[in-house]
Amino acid sequence: MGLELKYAWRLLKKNWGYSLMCGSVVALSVGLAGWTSVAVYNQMWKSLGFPGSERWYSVQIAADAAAQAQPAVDAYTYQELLKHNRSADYLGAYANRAVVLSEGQASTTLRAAAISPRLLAATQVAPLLGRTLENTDSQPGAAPVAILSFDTWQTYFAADRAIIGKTARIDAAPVRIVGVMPKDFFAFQDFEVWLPLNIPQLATPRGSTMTLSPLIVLGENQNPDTLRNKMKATVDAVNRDYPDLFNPARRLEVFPALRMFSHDETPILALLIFLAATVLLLGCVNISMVFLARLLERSRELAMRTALGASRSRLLRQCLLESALVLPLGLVAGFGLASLILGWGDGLYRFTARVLGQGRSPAGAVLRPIDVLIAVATAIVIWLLSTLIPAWRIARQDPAPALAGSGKGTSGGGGSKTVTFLVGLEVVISSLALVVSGGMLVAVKLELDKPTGLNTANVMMSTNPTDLGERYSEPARRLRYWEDLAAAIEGRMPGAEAAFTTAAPTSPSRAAASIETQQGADRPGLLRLRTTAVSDNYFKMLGVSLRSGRLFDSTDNRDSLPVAIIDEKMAARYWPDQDVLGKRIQLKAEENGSWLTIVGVVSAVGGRPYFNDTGVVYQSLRQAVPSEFRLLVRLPDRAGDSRATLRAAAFGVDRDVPLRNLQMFDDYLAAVNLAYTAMIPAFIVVAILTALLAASGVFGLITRTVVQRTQEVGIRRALGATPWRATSRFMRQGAMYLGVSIVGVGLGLMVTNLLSGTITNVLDHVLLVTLGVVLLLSAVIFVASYLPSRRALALEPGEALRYE
Amino acid sequence: MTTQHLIDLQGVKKVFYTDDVETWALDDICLTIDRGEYVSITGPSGCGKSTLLSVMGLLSSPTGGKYFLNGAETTGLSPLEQARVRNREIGFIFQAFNLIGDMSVFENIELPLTYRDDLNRKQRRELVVAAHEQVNIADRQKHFPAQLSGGQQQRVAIARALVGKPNVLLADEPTGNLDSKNAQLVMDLLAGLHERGSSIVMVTHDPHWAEQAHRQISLFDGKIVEDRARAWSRDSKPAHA
Ligand SMILES: Nc1ncnc2c1ncn2[C@@H]1O[C@H](COP(=O)(O)OP(=O)(O)OP(=O)(O)O)[C@@H](O)[C@H]1O
Ligand SMILES: [Mg+2]
Repeated sequence: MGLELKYAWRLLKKNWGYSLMCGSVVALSVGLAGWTSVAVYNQMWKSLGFPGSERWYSVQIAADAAAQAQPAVDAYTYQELLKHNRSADYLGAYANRAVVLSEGQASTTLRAAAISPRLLAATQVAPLLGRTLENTDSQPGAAPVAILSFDTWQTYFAADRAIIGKTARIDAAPVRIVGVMPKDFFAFQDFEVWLPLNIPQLATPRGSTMTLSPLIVLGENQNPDTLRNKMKATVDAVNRDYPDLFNPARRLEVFPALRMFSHDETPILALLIFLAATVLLLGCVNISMVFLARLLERSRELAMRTALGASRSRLLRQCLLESALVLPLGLVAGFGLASLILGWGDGLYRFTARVLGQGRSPAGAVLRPIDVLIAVATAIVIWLLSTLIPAWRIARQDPAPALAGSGKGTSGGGGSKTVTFLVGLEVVISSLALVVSGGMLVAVKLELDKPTGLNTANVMMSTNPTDLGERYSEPARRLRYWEDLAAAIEGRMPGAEAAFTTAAPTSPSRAAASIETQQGADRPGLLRLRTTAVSDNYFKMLGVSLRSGRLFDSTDNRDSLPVAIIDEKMAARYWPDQDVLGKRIQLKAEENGSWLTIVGVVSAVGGRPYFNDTGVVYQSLRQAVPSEFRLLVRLPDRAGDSRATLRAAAFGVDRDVPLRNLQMFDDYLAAVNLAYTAMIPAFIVVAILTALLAASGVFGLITRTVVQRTQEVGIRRALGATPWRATSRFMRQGAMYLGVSIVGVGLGLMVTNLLSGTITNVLDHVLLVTLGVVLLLSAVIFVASYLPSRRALALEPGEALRYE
Repeated sequence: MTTQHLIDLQGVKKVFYTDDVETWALDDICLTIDRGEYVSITGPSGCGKSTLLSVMGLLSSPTGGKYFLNGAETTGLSPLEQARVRNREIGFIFQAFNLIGDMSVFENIELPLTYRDDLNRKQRRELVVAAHEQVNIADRQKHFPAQLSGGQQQRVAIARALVGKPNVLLADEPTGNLDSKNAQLVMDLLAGLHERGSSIVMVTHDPHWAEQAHRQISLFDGKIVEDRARAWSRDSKPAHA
């Protein structure tokens, strides 16, 4: 064994190119398999993290025949379900809410779940402190209580061990804290507070906008199908009773709770598994081709071993051992690759979750111990699939002809056509993928590199809107609030400047609108324009420049003429070559809103990739006086903990109106555009993967031909052919695949053309990309066919003649 | 049965079927060879010499007839037992040397011993060193085959054939790839081995080398047409004495 290992290592080092190729194919396959297994497990099988969660089911509603089921059921339907399904012992529900916690010197908005007390209790997770919810908590008139998550307790209550029974200010009212959940408790979503669910009795579905996520916990001998059928009848009855509110095809579905948010991802995951399996299989075919070629090349040596008394199993062992040495290297690299990709994905996920203020999944996608096993199993499967057949074939060969010195020994054998076809297919797929991913890569990169037209340095924004609520129903009070808040911020943070807006600068919301043209009002209400209300200093602060007219100033108020500022894009689109100043726009056309007179035109703001932008209508905050707002602050160069300072400033103005999720504006943009930024490395990986697949296929195939034809090359050279001519047949074979790749390039261009609907600039550089891909493919195919044919040339003509 | 014969072929046939052609490479061969004999096989090209040798060496199985090696029937042996017999009882020498290019001289010679599990490292080393000395190549242990001359390579191949102390050496045109000087060296080596008791069966084209053997067999079209023994003493020592 030791000697065999030594010899195998020697061969591995000698044929390092081959070893590297096999190693990287193994690494990629293992990496892909590891990543796929984690992705599939995470989406489909990961338990909910509390005991018995496999008996939990999520009750969902699909709004009509075509819609996907969502874990959102209107309160009335839920109430009917409760009424008619007494047998479902643990039918309960939770609803998402945002609550304001005012504690210490700041108030914060927290993610809260209003949950049926018995549902929380049914998780059977004991609270760290105090108790969980009880049925009496949700009865009308019960004293308000709340349960904190571990992190909330730590962050906002300084991990006070005597917290139970104390009162906290939640949504501007005193609430008694009755429990703290343990650190790793996670039920369905990342909640920070649990409150008892309180649904008022509804006589009709009308007038209630509340939606709930119902769940059932099955008893010992219950099965989900019977329960579903019962509940279906209830939903059908509600549909019949309120045909004007509900689609008759609205239906109820039941899913295991662990898949409540991911059940509709099954097709994507299946596709992922299919792709991974395909890559794996093609990788095996490629390795086995090269491996067979190398064994055929050595058939004489193996025959000699037979003559010296090596048994078949012994030969098989030797062959397998040689290829097995590649495994550990590929395995380690592949595992590293998988954890790298997962780590990267997890990092992105954490970043978005933090910046956008969403909760996290319980544990990110990480490699589990079982994934080591999966990786090892994958590697072994690749190894056996790709080496057992060639090794077996070689070990069974008749040794006598190989030893006689004149035996051909290397007849190509069956399957040659299949292999040629497979490699052709790989080349086609690979060139297709290269064209598409190359095109996407360039297009997305260019789109992301477009300037936003905003000066965002040191700008912080509250990414979620703050709702001023009923206490500020008076517009004058809202205006006063903003004045006070700006003053408080500038007072606590000298040099800072605060502005207000209803929407994030890069994504104003759409509203129905009419515009006034020379022909009069144009298609009233059909137009949907993007609009936002901003404070006077908004444009200056963000570096949006004035093109014509004027900016908002203090003369624009509720008593003066309603005015608007539009950006140059809108001006060019609706009033090309006209003076827009003085033209009018009507927002909220369906409610017959007031007509705004355009008083200024400003530069356009970008920043959202592939957003079909028609321009923005700005209204003055002073005139629109919205009930929701976002804060924008340009921080002074040296600001300490600016978040704390800003929150404290807001607390000083009104302790019950917190700023929500303060983030640097650039981080916010990065998080919003992450889907696009992440595409770049993803496409690079796809490109490398497919190129490698094609390269190893061509390499394997040509290695095989070279081995079969080494003698022929020797003869040709002996007869006077130059080395180049003697090997030109291999290069011709490579060139044939290059020709085949053109088919793939053509298909790729077709796909790219389809994509141009969404990725609008994907065709802009299509020529350059295609040229690059063709060049890359030529280089890859040339190298893959030149490297093996060099072997035939490396031999002296005389040697080649004696070579099998 | 005739347990005293080293090799005993009884009506051995070997037929190759290729597409629609049927080649009778060996046609009803009856032949016995005893311990200590030095037999040469000659005949025109394609008459079946190599085929006969590979049947004797259990590298291919006969289509018909019986083959006793050391008195034991070989036709029913499993591939594993065949491998064992090749390893312990037979030494092969080929025209094309068939050394393994990626192994040093020492490793090449050691190779058949690594297929046995009754020898430890030290015993193997002793046997290899002894074989080195027998073929007079001790100073080339660390070389690789490509760094040796043809004659040296063939001597290494002979060392590899006899390192396991086989009962019989089977040589298929051992001098075919060598010039006359190196060929002489190899033939002297074989003669010396025979002197010391080895049994040798050698295929050759060259009548001059065939003369050196004590018994000359001629094949024609897969049949033995002549079996001529020179006087020699039957009481030579057995090979593994
Ligand atoms: N594997 C095989 N398949 C088909 N026919 C074979 C095979 N091996 C040998 N033969 C045929 O059997 C016959 C004997 O071949 P063999 O190699 O034994 O001849 P030889 O006497 O050694 O010739 P040479 O002196 O040229 O080496 C030949 O006609 C050959 O064509
Ligand atoms: Mg021959």
